[in-house]
Amino acid sequence: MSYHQMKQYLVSVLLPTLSRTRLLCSVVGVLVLLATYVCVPIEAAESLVRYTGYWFTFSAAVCFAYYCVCQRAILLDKLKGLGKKTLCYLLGGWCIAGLLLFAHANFGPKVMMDDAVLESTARSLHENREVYVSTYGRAIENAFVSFDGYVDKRPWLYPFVVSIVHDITGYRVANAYAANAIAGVLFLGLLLAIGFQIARLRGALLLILLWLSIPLFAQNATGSGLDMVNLLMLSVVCAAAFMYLKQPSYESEGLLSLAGVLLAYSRYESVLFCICVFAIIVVGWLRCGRIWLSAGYILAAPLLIGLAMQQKFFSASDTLWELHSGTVSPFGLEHLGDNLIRALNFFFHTSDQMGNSLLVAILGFASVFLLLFRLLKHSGNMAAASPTQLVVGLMSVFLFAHLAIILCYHDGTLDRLFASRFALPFYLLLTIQIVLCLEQVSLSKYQWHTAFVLVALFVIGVSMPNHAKAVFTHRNFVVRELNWIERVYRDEAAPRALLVDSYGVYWSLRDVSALSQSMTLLSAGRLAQEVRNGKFPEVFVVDRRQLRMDDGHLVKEPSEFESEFFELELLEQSSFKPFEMTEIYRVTNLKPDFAGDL
Amino acid sequence: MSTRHLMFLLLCLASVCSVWLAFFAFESPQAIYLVKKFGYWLMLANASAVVLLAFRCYFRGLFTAVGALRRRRFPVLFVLVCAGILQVLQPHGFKIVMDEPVLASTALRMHEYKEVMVTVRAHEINGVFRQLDGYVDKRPFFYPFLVSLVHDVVGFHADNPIFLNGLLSLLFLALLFYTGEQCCPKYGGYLSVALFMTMPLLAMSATGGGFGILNLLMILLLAQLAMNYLRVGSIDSMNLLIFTGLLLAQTRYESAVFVLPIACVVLYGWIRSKQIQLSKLTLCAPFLMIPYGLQRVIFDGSSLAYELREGATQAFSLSYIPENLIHAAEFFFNWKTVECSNSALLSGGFIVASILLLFCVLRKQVEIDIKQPESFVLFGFSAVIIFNFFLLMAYHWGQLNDIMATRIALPFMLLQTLVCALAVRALALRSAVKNVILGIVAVFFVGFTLPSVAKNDYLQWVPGSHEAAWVQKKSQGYKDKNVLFISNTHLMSIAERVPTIAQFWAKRNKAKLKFHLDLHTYQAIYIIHIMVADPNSDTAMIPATPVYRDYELELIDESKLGEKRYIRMSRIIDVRLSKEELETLESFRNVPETDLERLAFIAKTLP
Repeated sequence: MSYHQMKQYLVSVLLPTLSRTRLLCSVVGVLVLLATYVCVPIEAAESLVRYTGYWFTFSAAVCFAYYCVCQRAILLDKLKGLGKKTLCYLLGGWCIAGLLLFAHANFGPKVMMDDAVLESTARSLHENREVYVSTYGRAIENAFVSFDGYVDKRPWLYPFVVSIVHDITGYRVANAYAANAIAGVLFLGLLLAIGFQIARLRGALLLILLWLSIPLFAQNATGSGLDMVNLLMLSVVCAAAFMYLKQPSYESEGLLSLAGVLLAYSRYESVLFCICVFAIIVVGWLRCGRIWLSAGYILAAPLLIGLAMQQKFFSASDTLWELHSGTVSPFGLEHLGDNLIRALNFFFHTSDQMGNSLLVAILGFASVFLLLFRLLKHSGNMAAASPTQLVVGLMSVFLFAHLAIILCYHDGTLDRLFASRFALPFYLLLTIQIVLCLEQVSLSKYQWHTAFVLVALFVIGVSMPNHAKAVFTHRNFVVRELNWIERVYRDEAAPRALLVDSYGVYWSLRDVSALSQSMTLLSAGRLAQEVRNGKFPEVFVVDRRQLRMDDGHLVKEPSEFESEFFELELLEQSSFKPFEMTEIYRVTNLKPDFAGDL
Repeated sequence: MSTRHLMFLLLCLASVCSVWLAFFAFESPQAIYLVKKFGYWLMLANASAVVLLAFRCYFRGLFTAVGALRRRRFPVLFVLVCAGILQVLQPHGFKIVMDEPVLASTALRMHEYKEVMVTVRAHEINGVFRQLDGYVDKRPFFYPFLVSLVHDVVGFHADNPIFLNGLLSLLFLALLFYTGEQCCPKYGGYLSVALFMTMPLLAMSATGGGFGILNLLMILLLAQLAMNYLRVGSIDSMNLLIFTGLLLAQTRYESAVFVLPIACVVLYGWIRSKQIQLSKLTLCAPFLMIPYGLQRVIFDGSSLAYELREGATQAFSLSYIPENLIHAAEFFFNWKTVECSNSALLSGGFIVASILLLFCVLRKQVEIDIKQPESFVLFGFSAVIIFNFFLLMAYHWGQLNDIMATRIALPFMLLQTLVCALAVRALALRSAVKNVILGIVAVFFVGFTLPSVAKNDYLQWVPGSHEAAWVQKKSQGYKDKNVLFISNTHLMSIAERVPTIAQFWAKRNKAKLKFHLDLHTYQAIYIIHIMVADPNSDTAMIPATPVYRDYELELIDESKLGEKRYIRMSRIIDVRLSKEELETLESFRNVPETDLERLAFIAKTLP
């Protein structure tokens, strides 16, 4: 279509379908978003996020659910159209994949600080409807009350989901894992839908098989990080985009818009996909010759205000970026080179140390190149692309851009234990490309058989042993150390005892009062007086000391926790990190003053 | 030359090549490497071929079979109830501690590393359970392979081998019922299952972690596949028979002999169809037997492999047969409900049935047409089972009244059961008489089998059994608690996926042990050892191995194993080092700087 034809089409076909009221509402929505971002001061932005953040995600989720209900007839029709046999295969595949996903389940936090912070936000959302992380709390009468904390930088869709589970079933730390497990199973279901859309039954089954070969997936589905929900929302956006382009309507457009909003709330970089969603909506308008501007679309911009406010105070704070020593800027092209090499090291890693899938990387990159080559060769036919091809193409471009952003991030080193999970969205790109390539490029009569056998063998021979050993999970010594400290504390300490340890958020989640070592030393005198006054029944101190070899004997470095106010008695010690000893002490000279009868 | 002749030539060539590769091409160390690295994959290929061929042969008939099962609710219920009863007759757990922990350890290695190997040394390195040293075992590895698949699918649980045997025993009873019905329509199924149930050994095997039940199941399955091939005569059914036979050959040592009747059945099939039927898949079959041959090379290269007992000079000898037959008779016809896990009714019934069958054949009351698929297969398989029985009688450890050897005779007892069913058919008994026979079996089950299994686990006199059970219980208690166990029955800890080393190995690496004790690599290091009577005193007890000389110990728990025999678990407080060992400890002074190097250093210095 030439420029003039396009102009003609816009003026004569599209614009007459535009409702002025809807247009006005959309423009106002966008202006409100921009105005709040520009005009609201940083301090106010933090408070706004803390006190109103919950309601943004709540509204988006309610509207999204409403549109899902509106679309139920189409969904049911599609399911009925599949036929009994296909449905049996799909359900069977879903059940088996779900079983295999959790066969080697190791439910627990995977990235200690992130997971604890998210769980704490979820608790705050559940109890106070506030986006807030508690770092210190204390039992007042019989309730554990938070006294100190902060508003976190992390988008809060996952904490919001966990808070809903808390609302329904009551507060439990384990609810965070349950939420991710449910997200994992739903993600598998959506993978089946996406795979089926691309290449019918064989595409659906191959897609879930490919995901089972990625140990990182199971690791996140059994953890309490935000990546699983992010992945789920990516697949929701993908499925909603298929529905919208196949049958554009107010409902499908609204559903897609709100899926995009929720996706933006699921991870920092996912706001990028708002552009992708907008592009898909515009493509839909052009293809069907009508501009819809549904209520969901109009609401999308104002619903992003919470996120915009969070970005505002986040970008203004240096400490929240957690810059490593020597790093000047959090984002920059200077990080790209090194991170790219490390990303390739991750994707093509061959040992059991990482949660990658070598097979998906090899097949995925080959598929991307093959499809690119094919695209260049047949670029003239792009206008005739099917909805599936358009969605996959657009999503792929943005998933690729997402990886590029990650690689420009100072902490985007994918071969690091804590950063590997950033690769999950890119795996979605690779796996979808493999299925699409098998469907569109005909190399051999047996290519699908070969792919199934190859992936199945890889799952049995490589992925399952890696799942079983779970080196990439157990390597996290902090989890083991905190589990051990918790066990000793529960066994030895009197209820409500004060714990001196640096992981305040983790302890606060478990209703344990915890102060950091530095804070305790700074206010040692006051603390000693408070214990005598009965504020805490006793004090436990966690100390971590380096070990060195001296004359054939292991010697501990002197403790940094020394104060005239505290006399320490060693309770237990253990080593979780090479040549580092974790010790737990009881403070023996501080006890509440128990006087006799008056 | 026609394609068929060429294929036949290629098959001969493949067979010769396989025999050469399996038995003559490699020395023991190379064979160990090959079995360890490639054994799993060949087994996977074999099992995949069986699944694929079964799918091709039986998928269409699957729905008909399910429909038929719906119509036959009573037999289904009968088999399910019998399988359920089997599971409650005996306690679940390892029974033969010489074999079953070895198989469990092999399965764990196959699950985590896809290597055919028994792990004997395992540590927790940086929170990760790592299987380190081990050896390639003499035992065929089809059963560990299946256990490893169960681990793959449902995750590792120490009880998975026992769970698998429960499942296999259900399948076995179903197949026994089906085969029994073939031997004696309508009635034989019930009789076969009921008769076999009277033998406590079956319940013992069904609740243990050994490969006995799988072996029985595979024999019956193979017999059915052989009959099916002779009836259908398709290439797929022939391939299915061959590949299933290869799996049976990898189930128990002596089951490799079943390759002979399979070859006969295939040849007979060719004669019946008057053509040589071969496919590309058939040509691959001989290569799948290579691991079996390589294991024999490893086996023969080891002086300890046959576990020759005191006084025995040869593993197999004709001179063992008379004595072993006396032991066998003692076992088969034992009427007491203590010690022996036999069924005198089954063995007595077998003798009577054999005589009556012979009588019927001689009087031509029964005509045996060897050309019929059922008869041909039954004769072939019976011949192998009888051969294997006499092979056992010629084995130095073939005393059936020793529980360690009893289970080897399970296939012979299966034959006894089927012969009884055949005799009932041959005699053409009236329904009332058949019901009386079933009544006798039921009374025997209630009057002999149930009291026998109630008062016995048949392992009272097995050396090391209680010790192993105690170590297993302790390992279960300390699972995931970052502790190291040192014991002589360390495979029990491996089977529970708990870090462990052997006592002799700990003694040999005392400096390393001391280093990691001081480093607190483990939250605790426990040693489990035996206390025995002091020969120089009437009352004192001393450790069976000199542990107090090597370690300073704090007693945690102890239990009486038998008369003047105790087992102790102690926590190691300190390690006493000699001058040389102190020098070794000194050599660890250069601690690396980075975390990664330190981790490697820790892994390298672990005992």
